[in-house]
Amino acid sequence: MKHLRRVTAILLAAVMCLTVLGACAPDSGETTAATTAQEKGVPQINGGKPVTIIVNLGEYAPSDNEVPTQDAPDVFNSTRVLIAKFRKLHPNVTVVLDKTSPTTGGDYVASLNQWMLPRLAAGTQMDIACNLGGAELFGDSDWFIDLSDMLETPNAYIPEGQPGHDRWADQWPTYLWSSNVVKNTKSEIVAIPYMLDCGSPTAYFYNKEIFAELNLEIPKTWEELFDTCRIIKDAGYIPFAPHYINTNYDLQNWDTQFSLGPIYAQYVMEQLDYNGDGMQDMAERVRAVKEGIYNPETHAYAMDIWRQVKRKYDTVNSPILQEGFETTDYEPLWNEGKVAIMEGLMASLPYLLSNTEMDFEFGLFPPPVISNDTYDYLPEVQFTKAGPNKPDVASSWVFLKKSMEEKDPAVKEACIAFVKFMTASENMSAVVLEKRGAILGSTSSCLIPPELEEWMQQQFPIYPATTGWLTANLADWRQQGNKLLEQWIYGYVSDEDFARKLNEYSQADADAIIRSSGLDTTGWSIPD
Amino acid sequence: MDFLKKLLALGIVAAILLALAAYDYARAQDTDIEVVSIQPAQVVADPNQPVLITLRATKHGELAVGDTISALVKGQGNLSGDKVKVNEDGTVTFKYYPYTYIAGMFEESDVVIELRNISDSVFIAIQKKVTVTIHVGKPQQSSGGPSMGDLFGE
Repeated sequence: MKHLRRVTAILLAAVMCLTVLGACAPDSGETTAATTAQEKGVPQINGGKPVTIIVNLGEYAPSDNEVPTQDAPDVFNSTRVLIAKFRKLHPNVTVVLDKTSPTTGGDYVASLNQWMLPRLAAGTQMDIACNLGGAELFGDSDWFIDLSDMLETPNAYIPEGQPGHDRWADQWPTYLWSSNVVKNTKSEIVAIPYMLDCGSPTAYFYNKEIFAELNLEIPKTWEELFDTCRIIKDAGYIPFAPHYINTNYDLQNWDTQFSLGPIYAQYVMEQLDYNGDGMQDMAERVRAVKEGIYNPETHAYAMDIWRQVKRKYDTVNSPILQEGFETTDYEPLWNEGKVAIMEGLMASLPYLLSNTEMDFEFGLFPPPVISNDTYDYLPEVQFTKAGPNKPDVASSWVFLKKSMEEKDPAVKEACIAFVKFMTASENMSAVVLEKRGAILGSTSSCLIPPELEEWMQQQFPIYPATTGWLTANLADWRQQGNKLLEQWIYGYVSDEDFARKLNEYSQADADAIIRSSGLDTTGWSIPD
Repeated sequence: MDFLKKLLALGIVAAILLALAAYDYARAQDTDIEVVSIQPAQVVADPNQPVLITLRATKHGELAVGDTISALVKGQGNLSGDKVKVNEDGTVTFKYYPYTYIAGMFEESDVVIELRNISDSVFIAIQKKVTVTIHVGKPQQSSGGPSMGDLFGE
């Protein structure tokens, strides 16, 4: 018995010694993390201690299957490889992908709200995301942190000597920092540009055979589009197939965004550009609303833009849209060669290139813009010789304020490192190329996908960077405005009532933004 | 007895399906896709140096004119279109854009492209698979294709 007690005591002492020695020994995981980061010349994250970040990559998320099969031929692997590389550099960082997304169909802004508000309330939001619309949609909603200071820091994932290594912001062209997707009304940079649209996020795909048969040129202006469609309609073809998104009545439909708004904004640019920097930002937009620049009650031009939207949707008189466009499935008609122009997203390009149901060759051109051939008071649109002029941000990285402020600071540190890594040009190029012409990268060294060779030969309209014709930005007022637009187009509301109510919604929207953002309205000429 | 009848019915259905599958399998063996040319012969990891892969498709001893050949890239890089119709001369051409070389991520590799004539099955989609392997090497230097800086003009 005595012997047994002695053995037990010795064993216990040995275990205690080993435990103490083990606690004193360096953690091999932390050592590995330090070694890996230092070897590659990048800073260690969280001192090598474990940290987890939740990332929503949106449409850039890796596909579930890595290897394509006949049944599931579409895979997306570049971000999978990039995340693996990041983990090799920082083995202590776990990147958890949040693959949830808003519901599709209906009002886009409302669906984002429905998706995010409960998650923010419950604290189950992602830490960083590139599918939340940036400053344009929620920049004034207090969801995101200000990234201005962060952009002044070095990016160690960019090789020395290249733009961005010493100052992260240097790898992007300066015009992007004025984009309303990036900067909110308080002039805070709340989103970091990731991908750009291809000069336009949408394109008009056209049947080259119909165009050749009817001897048609590619329309560059809004009026030329009407003329072209008139000829096509008279020849017995379907002139135009709208994208299903653009069949909803939305103040910010694609026509307002890409064909009409930018030129109308150019027309009143002197009034919109309060700080004289040649661009219009979101704060200037709010001021313009309050000063009545967009008011259709007081300015004929501000009503004309909506008249042009109505002109297109008037299925009785319009050569563009036909009765029943809201519910017609145009895809089989397009495949059969009966549709001359089909509106779509640039993201559709890879699928069209593989569509063997089409027996004709197709091309694509940017959405035509309104010019002085519709209203002689508008400026004559200028075009590039080839290629887009200052493409706008299509997706951007945002850092959720709730995560950055309420979680361990190591999460913020890891998120910053991850976004710096993902926005290094070489890494961004890998994603861009895999997207096959759907998007462009945002940094100067990022490659242009070869699938866009023909697209890059097109002439694109030139206009200043503005917020377009954005009359209401917050979800509530935007939805009410959309309903009003629908009622007016259908004739349930008179022109006068439409103009009055639209202005009311715009004013209420602007007032709400002023309150939430604390905008200083000193010096604003607000009519009574 | 009921159970036996059900078993018999299931067995008949299974036998029919097997027979249809066997028929399509046999038909598929009589289709062929052969490589006519790969231009350029030396492929490098540079998307600005695309590769034209020309094939000839035949079935049952004749040119498979009008059939659709589908291609699946098992590896990095993209095809300009992954389904192409066979021409009058029996040929079909795919354009493969190699990936961009990134050390530590996308390096030299063998890319396998699986090809199938997806127009030929009668009952069940059983298609003979033909593979083409392309060795993608490290580029000596970048071809200097366009970058975003060319668009930005800054």
